[in-house]
Parts: sequence; C-alpha cells; structure tokens
Amino acid sequence: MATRRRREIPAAGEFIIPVAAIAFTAYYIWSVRDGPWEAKFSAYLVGTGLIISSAIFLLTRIWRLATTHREPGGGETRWWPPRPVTLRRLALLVLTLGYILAIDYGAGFTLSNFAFLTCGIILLSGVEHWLRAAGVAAALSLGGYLLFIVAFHTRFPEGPFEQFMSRLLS
Amino acid sequence: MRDFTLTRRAMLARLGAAGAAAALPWSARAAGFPERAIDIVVPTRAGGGADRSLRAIANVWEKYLGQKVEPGFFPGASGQVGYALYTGKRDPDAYSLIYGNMGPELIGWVLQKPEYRFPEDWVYFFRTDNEPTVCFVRAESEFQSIEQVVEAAKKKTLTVGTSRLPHPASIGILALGEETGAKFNLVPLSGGNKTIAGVMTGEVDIGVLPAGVKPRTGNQSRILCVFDRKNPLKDSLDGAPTANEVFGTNIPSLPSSRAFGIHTKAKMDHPDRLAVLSESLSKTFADPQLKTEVEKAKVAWETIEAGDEAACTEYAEGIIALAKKYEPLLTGKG
Amino acid sequence: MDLPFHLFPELFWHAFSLWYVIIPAVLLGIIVGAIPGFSAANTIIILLPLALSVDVETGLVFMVALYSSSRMGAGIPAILVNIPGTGGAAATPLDGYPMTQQGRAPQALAMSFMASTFGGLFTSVVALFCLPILTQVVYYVHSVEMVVIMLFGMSLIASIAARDPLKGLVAGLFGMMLGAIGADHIYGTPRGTMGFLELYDGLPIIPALVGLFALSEAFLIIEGESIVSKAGRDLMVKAGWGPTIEGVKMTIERWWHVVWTSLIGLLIGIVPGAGAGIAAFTAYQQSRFFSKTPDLYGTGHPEGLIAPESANNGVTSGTLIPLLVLGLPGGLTAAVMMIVLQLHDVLLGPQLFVEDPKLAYGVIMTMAVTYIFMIPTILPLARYMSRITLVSTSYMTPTILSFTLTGAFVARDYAFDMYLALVFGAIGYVARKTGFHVAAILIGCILGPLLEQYLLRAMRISEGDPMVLFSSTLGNVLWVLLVVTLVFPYLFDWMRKRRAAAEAGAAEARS
Repeated sequence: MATRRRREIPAAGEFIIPVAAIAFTAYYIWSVRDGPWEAKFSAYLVGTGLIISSAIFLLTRIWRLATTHREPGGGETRWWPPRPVTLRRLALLVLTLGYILAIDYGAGFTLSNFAFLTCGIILLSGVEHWLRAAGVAAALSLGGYLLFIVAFHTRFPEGPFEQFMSRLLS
Repeated sequence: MRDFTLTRRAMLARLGAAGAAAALPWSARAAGFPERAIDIVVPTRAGGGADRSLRAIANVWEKYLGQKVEPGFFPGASGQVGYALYTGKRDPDAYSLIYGNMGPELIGWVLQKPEYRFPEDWVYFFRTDNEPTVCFVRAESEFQSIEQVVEAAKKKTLTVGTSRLPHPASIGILALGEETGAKFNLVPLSGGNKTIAGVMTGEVDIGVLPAGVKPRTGNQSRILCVFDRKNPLKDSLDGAPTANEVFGTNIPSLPSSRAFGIHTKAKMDHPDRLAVLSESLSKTFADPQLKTEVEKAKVAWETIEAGDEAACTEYAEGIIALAKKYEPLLTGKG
Repeated sequence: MDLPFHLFPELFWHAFSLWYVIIPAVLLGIIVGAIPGFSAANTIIILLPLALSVDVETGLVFMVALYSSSRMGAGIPAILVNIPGTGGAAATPLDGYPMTQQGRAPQALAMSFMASTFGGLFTSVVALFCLPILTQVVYYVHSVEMVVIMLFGMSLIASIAARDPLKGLVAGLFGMMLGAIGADHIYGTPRGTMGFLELYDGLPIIPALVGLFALSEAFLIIEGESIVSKAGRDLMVKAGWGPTIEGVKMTIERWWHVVWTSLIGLLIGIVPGAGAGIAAFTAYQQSRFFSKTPDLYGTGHPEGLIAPESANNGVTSGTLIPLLVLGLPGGLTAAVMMIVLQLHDVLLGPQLFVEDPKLAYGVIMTMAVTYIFMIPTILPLARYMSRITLVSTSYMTPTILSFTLTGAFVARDYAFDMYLALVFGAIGYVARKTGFHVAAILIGCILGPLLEQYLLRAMRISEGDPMVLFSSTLGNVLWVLLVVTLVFPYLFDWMRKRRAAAEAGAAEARS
C-alpha cells in the first residue's frame, strides 16, 4: 500500500486533528464514567475505534518523521501559506471573535454587523477603500436588520440601534 | 388575493403592536405594580402546548393586569435551559415569571440535579391546568382494555412508548406495573409526536402520554386508562376508567400540570406584587372570556383548572417524592 | 383506501388556480431556504397569525409551497458559497461547490433547480397514485431498519476517504464522537457537554454544518482574489444564457438518475423522523456506487449534485404521506403544519381521506403543481445568482462570515451557537489544511447521533439483545444490500485488475 501519495513528508499540522480527537475522546469517556451503559455505548464503541485509529495514524507519521530528515511543516507539502496571508487570517479571526462578542454583549445585531463588515472589508481590500467598505457594510447590515429583526423577529440581543428603531417606529 | 392583503395588514398591525410593547418600559407610567410588561420565560418550544395555553390566558390576563404579557421561549435540555436562565439571569422583581410544566420539569430537576434549587430559587404560585396522563394503543391493537394489557404483561414484558423517562406518564405505568406485577419496558421516543408515531406504526406495544394524545389522533387511537384519581375528560377519552378504578390500586394523580412560577426572593421581597399577580390571575380564571380563548387555542377546556400556591406545592412535593422513588429506574443507575 | 382518480383533474386545475398564493410562497421559500439555519418551520411559526387568519386551503397551499421551495433554496448557497444551510443540503456542496470553483455555477444551479423540481414533481405524482402502498412503509421501517439505512449513509465515509483510508476513518469517527455530545437517548445522562446546557440536546447541526463547510472555507478563500479559478472566471464573465441551458440539458440527459435518487428520498421521507440529511447522503452514496466513474465524485460531477438534490426534494413529498394519512409529522415543518391544521379543526388521519378527500389529495396535488410553478420562477435566476461568485473575496469573506454566523444564531436563538460555529470553523480549517476530509467529519456528526439513537432504541425494545438487529425480514434484506454495496466495489476492482494482469500475462506469453 506504499503509494507515492502516502510517502509525502508529514507536516506538524497533521497531528492536530488526531491529537484533538484523542483528547476529546478521553474527556468524553471521563464525562460518562458514572452513567448507565446506554450512555457509555458511543464512548466505548466509537471512542475506542477513534483512539486506536488516531494512535496508529500518529505512530506511522512519527515513525516516518523519524526516518526522514526534513523538518515538520517544511518541504513540498507547504501547508503553511506565506506570512502576509497568515497575518490577515489571524486578524480576521480576532475580528470574527470580536463580532460574536459584540453581538453577545449588547452592541446588537445591526451595529456589530456594520462594524465587522467595515473592518473586515478594509482589512482584506486595503484602507484606501474605506468609504466603499462602509457603504457596502451599511447596506448589508441595514438589509440584515430589515430581514432578521423587522421581518423575521429573530431574538438577536438588542443593541442601541434596535432600541432606537423600535422607539422610533412606535 | 384580498384575503392575503388584509391579513398582511393585520400582520403589520401586530408587528407594530409588538414594537410598541417593546418600547413601553421606556415610557413613564402611573405608579403601582405592574409598571411595565410582565416577561414570561417558557422553557419549551414556541408553538407547543405551553405556548397555546399561555396565549389564551394572556389574552384575558392582560385586561386585569393592565400590562402586556410577553412570553420568551427557551427550550432545551428538558426545560433546564429555561429554568437556568430564569433563576440565574432574570431579576427577582416579580416582573419576570416562568411558565412551566411542573411534572416533567420537576422530575427532570430531581434526576438531573442542576445547580438551581427548588424551592429555594423559585416556587410555583398559580396552577393553570391539570391534564391527566393516559395509557393508549392504536385502534387496530389486540388490546381492548387495560386489564388485557396487564394480563399480557404478566406473561411477557410489553414495550411502552413514552415521550421521555422523566415524565409523570412514565411514572404512571411504572407504578401500575409495580402494583399489579405486570412487566413494562419503557422506551423513550423523544417527544409526543414520535411517541404517537411509535405506537401507531407498531414499533412499541402501548404508549403513555398526556390526554392531549386523543384529540390529536382521533379514532386511530384507543385510550385504555387514566393515571389519575378522577377522570374529568371521561367522554372525550373513550370512556376510559382510571387505573385505580380497575385494579383497586392507590396510584396518585399524575397529571401534566402547568403553572406560573416566581423567584423565591421576589415572593419574599415583594409579597404585594405577588398578590397583584395572583389576584389578576384569579380574576382571569373567573372571566367567561377565558373559555372562549381557550377553545380558540384548541386546548381542552376541561383540563383548565386554576390552583393556588398550596395546590402547586402539594403537587410539586408529591411528584418530587415519586421521582426520588423511581430514580434508579429512570436513570438506569439501579 | 380507494383512490378517487376522477377527482384528480379537478384538483389539478384547482391547485393551478391558486397561483397567486403559490408564487409568493415559492419566492419566500427560496429566500428563507437560502438563509442558513432559517427553516421553513421557523417561517411558518412566524407567519402563524397569517396562516390562521386565511381559510384552511389557502393556508395549507401556502405552507406546502413554502416547504418544498425552501428545500430547493437551501441548495443555492450550498453550491455558490459552500454554505449548506440545513442537513438536507449537506451533501450538495460535495460536487456543487467544485463546479462553482470551476466557473460552472450557472450549470450547477440549473442542474440543482431541475433535479429538485423534477425529483419533487415526480415523487409527488408517485405519492398521489401509490398512496395506499407507500403508507405501508411506516409499518415496516422501524429502528432496526433505520440502523441499516443509516449505515448506508455512513459507508460514504469509506468512499470519500478512499485515497487515505486511515485519515478518513479518523475524520469519520471524530465526527461521530462530536455528534455523540449531548444527553443519552434513553436516560438523558449529559455526555461530553463541558457543562454547557446548550449542548444537552445534542450537537446542534446548523453551527456544525456552517462551521465545517462555510467558515473554514471563508478563511481559506482570502488567499485568492475570487472563489472561482482564473479560467473559471473567464468562462463566467463571458457567459450568457448558454450555461443555464447546458445545465438544463445535462439534467434532462440524466433523467433516470433524477428518477431513482428521488425515489430514495421519497421512501426515506415516509419514515417519520428520518429526515432529508439521511436521504441526501444515502442517495449520494448509492449514486456513487452505481456510477461507472465513482472517482469523479467530489470533483464537480453532475450526478453527485443531482442525487442529493433530487433526493431531498423527494423527502418533501414523502413527509406528506404519514402526515396526511396517519397524522404523524415526520419533521419539524410537518409538525408545525399539523398544528396549523389542528387549529383549523382539520383532524389528520385516514378519516380525512373519507371526509374531505379534496383537501387530502389536494395537498399532494398542490405540491406537484408547486413544482410546476417553481421551474419558470427560479430557472431564469440561475444566471444572475451565479454572478455573486465573481465578487472579490475581500467583500465576499466578511459577508460569508457574518451571514453564516447569523444563520448559526437564528436556528435556535442562542448566542452560544455562534461561538460553536467558530470552533467548528477552526476544526474544518485545520482538517482541510491537513487532508482530513471535512465531509467525513460532517457525515459522522449528522448521521452518528441518529445511528446511535436508532441502535439504542432497538436494543432497548429487545431488552439488550443485539440479535434484534437481524430480527426482521426487511432489515435482513437491507443488511445483504449493505454488504453488497460495501464489498462489490472492491471485488470489481480486484477482478478488473486480475483480468488486466491475466491479459497482460497472456500477451506476454504470446510475444
């Protein structure tokens, strides 16, 4: 079964999923330790399979790593992209988390959307396009407000904008 | 087409009203409780049974309260999401109430041992209905009566579909089995709809649910017995007897019973406010308009039964004791 | 139950005359379907006052049209931006999104619209004419049979991960483990919930779905200028009506495929509670099994798009059968429809077909007619909708992020679900970057908990006897078919290689 494809240099990133899987399974099994067998069923059946297959995967990769001379993460698999993109991606991740926190902690749906979309577009297209970014963001978040809050009555936490609008409309 | 435009307008009017109601807290109003809308946490899904009866009650109650009643639906984890939210995140100022189904939710509370405590964190103060729980089969079933079921279950274990184990109906059939020596294997089928499906498709032998199963299934189902001391719905439940009548047993009443609850702290700090709430609810239940509203919401009028705090406490204590008694069977840790 | 054939022409024309209800409902359905997490059921709950204030027939026609068109609407973001908004559309991006990346979005949309409408139309006609027989399905398909059907869907993991089976296995089992989060199905013991009440009812499917597919993709696409490849962009810019017509033609050429995959959807849809996700994956897996070119699946293969789309609309027709004939709602939308009907004093069940056959058969006829209306309403839009894929990623990425997180929220109204979607986005991102199949994780997440539920139920009914799994005739037939499905591809492969080796050997011997 040693095909050409499987002989690629393993990257460190390949370890993340199996390690996470083993860690989660261990926690899951711990969480049902006092439960009846029905509750343990998945943990034992699926969990055992998952731990075994992840362990085999890790061992084969580590063995291959030990028998080749390249650094993990390097080589021709190149899963790590060029740095500027990585930075932008991290910034976007922080921005996304900020967006969720803003919605969750009182800024409301519309304002959070406006701020997130403006910052996101500026981050990706450059600060010189700020006006266009703000315009697009305003249109999208207002559209979202009309659709989700006014028409569909979803229970997004209300922020200053929603409260102002509901007072205005009444 | 005309129907549509008209209702569209009615819809918009409703939306406008909802918007206005949301803005009410901001406008200063005359002194005296309540000064603003009463917020009700409902720990079950919008469109479900609690939604329907609450809608009917609220339509009349608002008249006596002089304020809006605003339900918010927080289903999940068999009611735990709603109760955790109510006891943990709502202010204990009597402006926030919970409208729950005492039976399943208290049994769940006993079995799942969440952080909020009864009666330290909340108490029920006004019961709104009492829906008996029943045992039923599909119309083509070989079982014509509960006696036949018990006879058969003495020889061979029968499978019993139930919406979930922590439910008064589940306790009802367990108690019947215990008293008669019949063997029942409870199969939780996740919800009323799926329980009906399990019984109607023959996956399980019999089913146990609140009496609402009858109007839902019509002549496709046959009610065999009622787990209650009396059967207020006798005619509409195929004339089914109570289990106690048939077997001379002493199984307590196991209705599915909804009630308004309030923070225990609010009850202590604001007895005057609680009195206003209770009184306005009593007036609501004395108002003939309630019957019209209840029937409009397709809730059986016979199940509507007001009860004071003492009645709620009595029910709660009874159901908690039963839940503790059957805890090993209901949690699989026996 | 005798079928009143004489009524059908009248019902057909009557349903047609309600075009002014159907067309707005179709448009609304497509919009709400395209919003991730926003189901037809939610829409009907919101419109409850409206549904109750019109007469029962109008309300019913509106709901049925909304239901069937929302299913099709869900395919649109799944194809264009890799956002499947419901479990039913979870298999759609597997081949739909690669087509978009190749600049064949109009073809993909046209195919999805055609497969959905013809799958839906065909199955609703079948439902109308075979109602008494199809109703019997519910009496034969119980937990045991569902366990096997679920395994059909799960076996897809094996085919998806054919190139690296170990990675596929890890991904699939990891998905199943994540899917096992939540209270157990019998006693309600919380498992793996990390103390979050929001996880007690199980892993919510929408955040997992949009996280794994869409969020992870959004973080990937910022590497390029557009989600469409350069060659694809040139194709798209020049495109007129040609690609749409090509998509229509491609579907018509594969009419037989639409027919049989939609029948899978119909049969699974009849089983109360089974749902469109199972149907979509099972149809995809079967389509791949019978294909002469299984290796092309996942690369933008037309059959790989047609199968799940026609199957999930087949489910819509199937769901109506237990709802109308037995009063058993198969899913959330059907349950909400039932509430509306009850409030209108309509009692569902066999009696309905005796007392009010016009209403009972009329519902199914309406669904058929809805599909007829859907084609001219939606098809011309394929060309314009696909333009969205040309938007630069600097605008697209933040919009996708905000749209999907909104979707994660609205499905249950929990802010928690937005964080959860982000976590799944991270899992999906790492998985994509390191060659673990996101689809395999997803199948585990969606089908795993259902498999566990049916399995535990079967075991509970049999009081713990595992032999219950082989206790029914239909179940055993399905087991045999499952084994055939799993073994034959390898067997054929082995035989082909042996024959090739033998021929090569013979040729060598001759020379």
